[in-house]
Amino acid sequence: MTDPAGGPAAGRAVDPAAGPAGGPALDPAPVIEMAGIAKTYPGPPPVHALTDVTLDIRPGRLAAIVGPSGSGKSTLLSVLGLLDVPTRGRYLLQGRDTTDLSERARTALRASTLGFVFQAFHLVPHLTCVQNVALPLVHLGVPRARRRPQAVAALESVGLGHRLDVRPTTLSGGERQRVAVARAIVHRPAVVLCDEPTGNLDTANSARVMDLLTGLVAQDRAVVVVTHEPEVAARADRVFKVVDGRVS
Amino acid sequence: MFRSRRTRERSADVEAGPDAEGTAPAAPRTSAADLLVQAFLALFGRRFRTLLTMVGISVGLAAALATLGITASAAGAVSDQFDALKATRVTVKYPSEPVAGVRPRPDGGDAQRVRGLNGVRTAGLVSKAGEQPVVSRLASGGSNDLPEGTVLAAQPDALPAMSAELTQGRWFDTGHDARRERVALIDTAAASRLTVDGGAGNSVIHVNGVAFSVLGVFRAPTGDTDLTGSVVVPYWAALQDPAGLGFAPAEMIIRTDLGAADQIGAEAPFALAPGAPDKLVALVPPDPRSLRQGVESQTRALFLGLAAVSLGVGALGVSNTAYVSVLERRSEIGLRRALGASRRAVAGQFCIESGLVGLAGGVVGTVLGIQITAVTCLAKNWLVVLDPVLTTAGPLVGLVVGLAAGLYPALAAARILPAETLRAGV
Ligand SMILES: Nc1ncnc2c1ncn2[C@@H]1O[C@H](COP(=O)(O)OP(=O)(O)O)[C@@H](O)[C@H]1O
Ligand SMILES: [Mg+2]
Repeated sequence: MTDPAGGPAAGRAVDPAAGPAGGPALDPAPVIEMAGIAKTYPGPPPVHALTDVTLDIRPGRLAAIVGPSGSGKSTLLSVLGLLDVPTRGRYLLQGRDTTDLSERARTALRASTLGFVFQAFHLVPHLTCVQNVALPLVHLGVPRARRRPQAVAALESVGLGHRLDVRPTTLSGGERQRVAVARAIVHRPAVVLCDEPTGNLDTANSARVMDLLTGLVAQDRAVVVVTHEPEVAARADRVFKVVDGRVS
Repeated sequence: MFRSRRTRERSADVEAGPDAEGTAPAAPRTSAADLLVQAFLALFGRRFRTLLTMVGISVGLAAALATLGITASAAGAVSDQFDALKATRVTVKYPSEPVAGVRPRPDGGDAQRVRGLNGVRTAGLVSKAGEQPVVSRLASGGSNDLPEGTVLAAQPDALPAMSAELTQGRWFDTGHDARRERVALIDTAAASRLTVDGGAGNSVIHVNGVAFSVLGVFRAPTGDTDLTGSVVVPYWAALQDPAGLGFAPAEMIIRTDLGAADQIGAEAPFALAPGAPDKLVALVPPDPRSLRQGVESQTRALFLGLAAVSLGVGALGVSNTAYVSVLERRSEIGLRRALGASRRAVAGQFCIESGLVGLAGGVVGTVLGIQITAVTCLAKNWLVVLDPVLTTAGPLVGLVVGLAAGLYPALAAARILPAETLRAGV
């Protein structure tokens, strides 16, 4: 996989194995900082899905979010992904405070800096693979002439250069999730957020998708993976454990 | 389903507080052209459903157009009939008793006086037998072969003035009248009852025992109760009454140019009886324009109502399908929102989708409606009357109906939240 844009920290050696033990001196500046984040779903009865969450996410690192079902992992991911607004707390994305942004501004920031991979793939069935992968570019307003080449490059980078113009419904689950990964990176976001990306895949396909995600880390992107699977968590540089809406 | 989530996003919006647009990157704006492309891809990718929805609108619009077209054509046909037969006919009735020099049965010269009026095509005197005649092929036959029949004495020009058409033989002429010949013309209905073929004077019928030779057979205009099943003899018979038929006061039948009837109705009594025009009664047709309007406004109101109902049903179909499609495509919508589509873009795409369906349905429906109108008119032998404005308005109406029907589903789509994509099992 190639990323001509590289990154500000492209020259720095990032050894995933060194991970959290890499020492504060080597740690890149966080791309996401959260402090005192709480999320309460208004009831009745109100659900305190997140309580006082403080964490940061750094480029070139794979972070895993683990925890029992209903503990608040998806809620945390939706706040991280600017898909939902926290009830309380501060959330800085690339140093910008997002908590006071209007919905439009939040949408804009999300579209340009974040990429998403979902457990259920969320590929649009009536679009071809290239059209699906190009969706972020469409909604970002990237000029049409640049879209297809970029989408093709992204699909090639996930090993699906031969599946450009077919509908995703003709693909296997593993292939579909790779299309979704291509879509998550086509606009070169700083952070890729994944909700159980391997939840619907067998072991071989899970490994392949995780390889792709670790490849992104090597390009200095921040990757956040919500997961149930110990093998996935084992690959992470940093593991956040969520229990009852609290992160440890 | 939507409702609970809407409340949540509302609260999220409130929490988001004052607009921080100044420092935020410009909101990505999905271009209108891209929305059109995305809408088209969705419609094309879901062709079967698109087609079904389209059919709904097409049927509604075709029904609307066909009812309008057929009504207009029917009204046209109705007013054609009025125009041709009624609107140009003026009848002047003579008094039943002689008054102020006006006789109930004038001599034949009267027709000459009205013929001179501007706008008169032809005119002739007619008088109807007062007694029920016995019409038979046999000289002394007690049997009446034409029990419903009437006998009319008429000047030669009166028959064309009454729109009778010769089908066999010939008309009698002023010569027959002047020579007081006992000749007759009979209507096709009478001819078939009397089994008369109308061939060159070789058929003879007897009216109250008096023989008349049949010169020709004519067809009475449809619905004419005087001429249908009648025997017509020259006008001299009304004055001499050779068969004892007791003729009624005469009528002058005038065929006018289109639009001249009112004028002739006013002038004819003066031409016929300059000394006592008020003794004559002129019957003029109702104004053809008001007649046509009367016919149209009644039928139109009914059929426009029906058309509106059928179009409404089509619109409901579009709206329903669009709404179901929004429910089905929740994950697609949430995804687009997550990827940067604004609420407006989502609503826009769905509006465009319904609008396109409406437009396509409008085009198909217009073509169908024209076909139905044409086929119906062909079967009914009517002239096709279809306002060209309707045919161009058809697709536009489809578009507007599609947009209107798609509005609520589009707004429902815009309410779907990006966080929807993280819900398990979606
Ligand atoms: N939209 C919502 N409205 C109300 N409660 C919610 C909503 N989403 C999640 N919750 C609740 O918040 C808690 C955390 O949910 P979630 O973040 O989905 O957990 P996880 O992803 O770890 O299974 C759960 O109790 C869940 O029922
Ligand atoms: Mg979850």
